[in-house]
Amino acid sequence: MNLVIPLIIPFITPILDGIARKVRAKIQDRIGPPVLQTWYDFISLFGMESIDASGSLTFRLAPYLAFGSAMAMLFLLPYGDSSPFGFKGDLIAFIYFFALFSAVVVLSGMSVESSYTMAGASREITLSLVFKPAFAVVVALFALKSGSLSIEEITHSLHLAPSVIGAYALLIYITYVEAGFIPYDIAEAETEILGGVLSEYSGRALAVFLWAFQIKRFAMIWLLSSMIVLPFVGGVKALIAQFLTALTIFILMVVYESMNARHRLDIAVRKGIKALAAGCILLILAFFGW
Amino acid sequence: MIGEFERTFGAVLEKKTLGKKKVLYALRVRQEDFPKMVRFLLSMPTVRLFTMVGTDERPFEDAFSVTYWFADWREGEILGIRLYVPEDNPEYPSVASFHKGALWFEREVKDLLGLYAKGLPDPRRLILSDDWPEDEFPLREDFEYYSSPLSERKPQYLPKIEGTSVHAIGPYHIALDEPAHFRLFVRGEEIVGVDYRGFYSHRGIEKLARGRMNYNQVCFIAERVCGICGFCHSTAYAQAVEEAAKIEVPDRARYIRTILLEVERLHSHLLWIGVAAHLTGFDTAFMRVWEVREKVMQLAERLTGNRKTYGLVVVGGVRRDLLDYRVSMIEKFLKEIKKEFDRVVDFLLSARSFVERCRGVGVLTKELAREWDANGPVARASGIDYDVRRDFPYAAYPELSFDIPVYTEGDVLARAMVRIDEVRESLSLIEQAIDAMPSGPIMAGFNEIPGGVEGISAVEAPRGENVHYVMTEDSNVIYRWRIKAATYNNLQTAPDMLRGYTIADAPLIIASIDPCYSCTERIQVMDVGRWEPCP
Amino acid sequence: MTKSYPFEPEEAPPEYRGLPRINPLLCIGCGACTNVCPPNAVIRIDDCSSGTRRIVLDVGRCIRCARCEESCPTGAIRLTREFEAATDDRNDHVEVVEMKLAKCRNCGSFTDYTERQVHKVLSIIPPGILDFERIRDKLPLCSECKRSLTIINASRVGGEWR
Repeated sequence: MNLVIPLIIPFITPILDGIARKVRAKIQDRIGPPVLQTWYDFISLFGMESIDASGSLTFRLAPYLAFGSAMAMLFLLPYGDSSPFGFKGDLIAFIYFFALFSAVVVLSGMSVESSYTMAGASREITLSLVFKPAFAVVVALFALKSGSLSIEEITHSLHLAPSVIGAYALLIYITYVEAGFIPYDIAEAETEILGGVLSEYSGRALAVFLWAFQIKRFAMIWLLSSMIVLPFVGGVKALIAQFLTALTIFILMVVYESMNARHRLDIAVRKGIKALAAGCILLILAFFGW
Repeated sequence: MIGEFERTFGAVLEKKTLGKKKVLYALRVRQEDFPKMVRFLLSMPTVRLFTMVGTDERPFEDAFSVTYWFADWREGEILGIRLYVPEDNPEYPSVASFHKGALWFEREVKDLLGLYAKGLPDPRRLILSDDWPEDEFPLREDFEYYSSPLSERKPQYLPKIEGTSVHAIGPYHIALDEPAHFRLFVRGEEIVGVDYRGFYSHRGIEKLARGRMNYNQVCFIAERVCGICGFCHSTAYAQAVEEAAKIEVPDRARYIRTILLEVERLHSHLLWIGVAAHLTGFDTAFMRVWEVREKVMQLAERLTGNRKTYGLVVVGGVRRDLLDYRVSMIEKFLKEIKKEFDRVVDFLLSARSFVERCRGVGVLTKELAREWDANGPVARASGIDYDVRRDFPYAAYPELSFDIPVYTEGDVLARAMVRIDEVRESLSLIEQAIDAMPSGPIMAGFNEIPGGVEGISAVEAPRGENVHYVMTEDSNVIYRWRIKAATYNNLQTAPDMLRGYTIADAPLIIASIDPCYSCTERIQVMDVGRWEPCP
Repeated sequence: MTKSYPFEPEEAPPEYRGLPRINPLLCIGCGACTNVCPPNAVIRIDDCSSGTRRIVLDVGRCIRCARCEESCPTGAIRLTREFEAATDDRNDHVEVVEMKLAKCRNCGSFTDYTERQVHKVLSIIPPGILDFERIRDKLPLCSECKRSLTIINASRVGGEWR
């Protein structure tokens, strides 16, 4: 049963994207495309041949590797009572696949001779260098506070403390950033670098890559919603609560997104460093038992 | 400006008075004095190079001519210096060698007429396509307007700066509405150098107007120079002809022109604000601003019969009267636009992430703006208090009161603020014009347009000054028509604005000029052969 | 804001300048519109061998400036409020009005104006000002014959021509 859910989720994410489009359209006083529009786009993209822009194996494999790592992230997350592949230390594995995703994005960008993908790749690296450590610090804090490296155990053994509340706030922020919403969609900025690494992809490969991005975004949000829901709710109810929370978080993030302009890289980095510093301070607080 | 100039150089010049405060001097001997004169003029703090016209005057003067027009915006005076360039030795002293603003003018004359400025700092091709032959000059009288010679393609890009890579924006780019090719030399994300190649949409409409149209048909092609500020172009053209032929435009027509010019400014500025928001990824503001703009478009449609390209100006007046029901309609529209605009601007400027993107980016200092002869909102954001509407009054502007917003920061935010303030001024101008509108005819009565007369006129388009120069010929034909759009000067500042900022800023900085490539390049797509009916 | 056009009809405002149309019953073929049209969207083609004049309007070239409407003496050409010009056949954009050229009473060749123009002229000349019958007799003359008539009239005062 638990194995089935992560397999269903990829089919839901395009619908969530359709909902996001609809919400954005409502805010912008438009009707917007149908909720299934993202699915229609994918179907038509899957029907198209993808052009190999670089001739390198990295370029061709990257979308599938990204898809694979996004799926792996899904499989490590808890659904209701248990996670399908949960084990002691699955949090480390989660961070590993999370970083792998970024690495694949960077590699695919580097494999093409195009200033747009290069710019996208270098932006992805820069962002990863500040936000990934910040994420790791938050995770470390949770591990320290709960004495465990398993996502499921952490959620069940967390106790309220000032540093934990701070860590939650940071987690929300980092989830928002890593989900790639404006103002943090810098690596794919459409009007500046034409979608960054995505600019050289087409057809099937593009669909797979876009799909992978959506799954990764969902995985990040699911992690956040699990951290919020699971300490309080258990059993089958937990799964429903998790899903509803994830949906709410998603929609709130879309609303916030449509109220903002994109950051320039240096501004985002400055904010990332602040987040990292805050995380470190929280970690020290946690170490002293706060 | 004219008085001082004449006291200093009057002796060697032939004077021709074109109108009140408009003088043309011909310099027939001692061309080497010319740079001295230009230096003298440009040393005055409020004098700028207005436009430059190259003309094939061989049929009546047996030489080519280049005329530099200067404008003193404090005194409201316009002064032209004409040099005659013989066919066998087509050279004249360069102004661009010491004044940057003349660079494109001289490159253009080189391309179109084959006249060379001695000492031109950048003699690359500017206007003609890369595959145009070296020895064909389309603006010469012996070139037929329908011929299209071809030769080998020879692109002339600037060499890459050592240690940089090239990041291309264009010829087609998602952030550009029209073809333009910026080659950014970047180190990482930082821009260290820029090469610009444009004029992809040059179609030679000046030649077309000369070749096959009469003076009144040109109004309509002038309007199609630009898809945004076309009415400014047709008004500037009509004013130039009216000035040349000494036609008094009726008061009511002047007011109607003013109202439509301001309606056009409204829609253009709103469009720009929306585009700026879109380029920073702020699509909600983009959609909301354009929602307000849609109202302006509907207003224009009700007033003129078209959302854009109003087609209302002809030489001597306007074609449609503003009936009473339209006046009340304008008032109703204005009220709505004003309310919604305030709300939208508050929303836009309250987004910190948007303001952060604009502040301190793409700074153009006042000195650089002067050197390049920047104009319009670009100049006013850099502290140059110059607006054609006030300084060279036309239409009904002398009778209306309005403020000219000036900022000194010179960054993208300042340019945005100038435009936002101008929208408010435009709304008030339209209201004033409606209230003060006199009754009477809307067309002046006049006979033939005399041949061999000249007129020069400027209109403050939303993006700066549009200067039109006209020289007529007998039988109601235009001999030479020169369009200088605001972007012609403003675009040349782009490399200076971009240097030192990042790739991420580039689209926003380029857009902050509100560039109109078609205006600059004078587009008109048209197959000029007579259409043969189907059998 | 979004409308479901083209699935719901969209109407242009009353002031709109849309596609021009020629009313073939009113057109007299004078060609005033062809003279003012900036992009040459409406042109005049005379066929002297068959004696027809065609006024050819090509909406695909039209810029909707409405100069033709202003210049038309009979109100035959009008700008409608239609704006949907898309078609898969270029010929749909072309409207042709064909009419007969007047025949010269003297030499029998075709003149450079149409029969309808002659009728129009006759109908607007105020009666009593000119000798109506004489004009009616002499009107359809080609420019060549008109010129020789003037010369003959001038040289033979009071003389009758033919």
